[in-house]
Amino acid sequence: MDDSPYQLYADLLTEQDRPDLVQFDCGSGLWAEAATEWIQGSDVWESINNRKTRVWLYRNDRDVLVGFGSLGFTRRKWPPPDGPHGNLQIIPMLGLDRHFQGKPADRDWRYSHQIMSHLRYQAIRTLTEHASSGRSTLPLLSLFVHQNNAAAIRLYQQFGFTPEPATRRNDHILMIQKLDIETST
Amino acid sequence: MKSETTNLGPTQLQDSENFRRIVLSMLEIIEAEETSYADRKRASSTIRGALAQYDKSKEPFSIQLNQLEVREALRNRSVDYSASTLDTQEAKFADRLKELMRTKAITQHQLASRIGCSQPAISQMLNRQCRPQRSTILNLAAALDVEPHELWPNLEVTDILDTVAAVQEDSEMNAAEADAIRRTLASPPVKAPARNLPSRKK
Repeated sequence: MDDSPYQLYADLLTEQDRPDLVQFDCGSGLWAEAATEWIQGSDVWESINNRKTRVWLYRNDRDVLVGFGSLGFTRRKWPPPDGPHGNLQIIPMLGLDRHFQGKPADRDWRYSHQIMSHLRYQAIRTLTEHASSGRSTLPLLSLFVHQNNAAAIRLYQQFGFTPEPATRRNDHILMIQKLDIETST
Repeated sequence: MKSETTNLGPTQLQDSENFRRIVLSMLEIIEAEETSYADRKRASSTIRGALAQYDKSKEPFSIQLNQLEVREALRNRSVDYSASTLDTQEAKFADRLKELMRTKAITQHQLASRIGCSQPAISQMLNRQCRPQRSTILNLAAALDVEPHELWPNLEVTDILDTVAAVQEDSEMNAAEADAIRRTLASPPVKAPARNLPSRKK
């Protein structure tokens, strides 16, 4: 499975990766610009340092930066209104460089699919670790997407997320899925 | 210059010699003293695009130039790769704020008291350690008597970033969110791909 020229490699973002981010560009359009700004500006470091978010950079076998993805937590009282706190896993932001969007033609190796699959794997692994160490983490994975970002909503649906239009916040809606500890492959 | 760097179709990349010629000419542009920052960025972007599109399966071993060498070349050109070179809206905002404070002769303390924040908060924004929220941009614009877009080019981008930051905060759930979580917990787990990826750094 690892011998495709389209194989992506995932490594956690560190300060040393800043040079690679200089040329990174998710393209034009509101959400794309926000994604580029998030990874190049101070938001990503704010999220890593204050929210313990993990951010991966995805590169191809030529060391070209293809995209990034992130996985963090937010705490919610569960069950509401006064239940003990539980961790809710969330994907704060992800983005694909404009040169790699919609590629390759082979859907099994589509870069966006590899990234979503990797984030799901990491979320399941985190859930499994938390379950075995007694931390109260809900078996869920969530993200917020702009309600007009149809392409992203379609992608997330392919990876098991259900849109929840009633949860709208500043034009963003919650998309959520139930994770299975056993699903991990 | 522009057409030379942006019109890089697949036909031009069909043979490795052509590919190498294009990359080398872009490197020359990057390395030339007189090249502007924008042109240097564009040339770098062209190289990245070429690397992304080049089908190495055709002549896998004849390409000597790889991303590492390109990066080395860029480093040799002594491009400052610190955070300040990132061409973000946040960086532009910091530059514009600095310039406005200078022309209007306003100190960090004065500006802080005008918009009701601390002086270190102003300092952090000027040093690009902290992105201003939309409300802060509006307050700063009013305090400096300029239009908000003169400080931050696209406030809609700020809105999205503010939302992304807000949803990560620990917060009370609204009824709709609680309902969505309750229904999802009661549903069966989804069956969708979940696969780890190898590391590049090993």
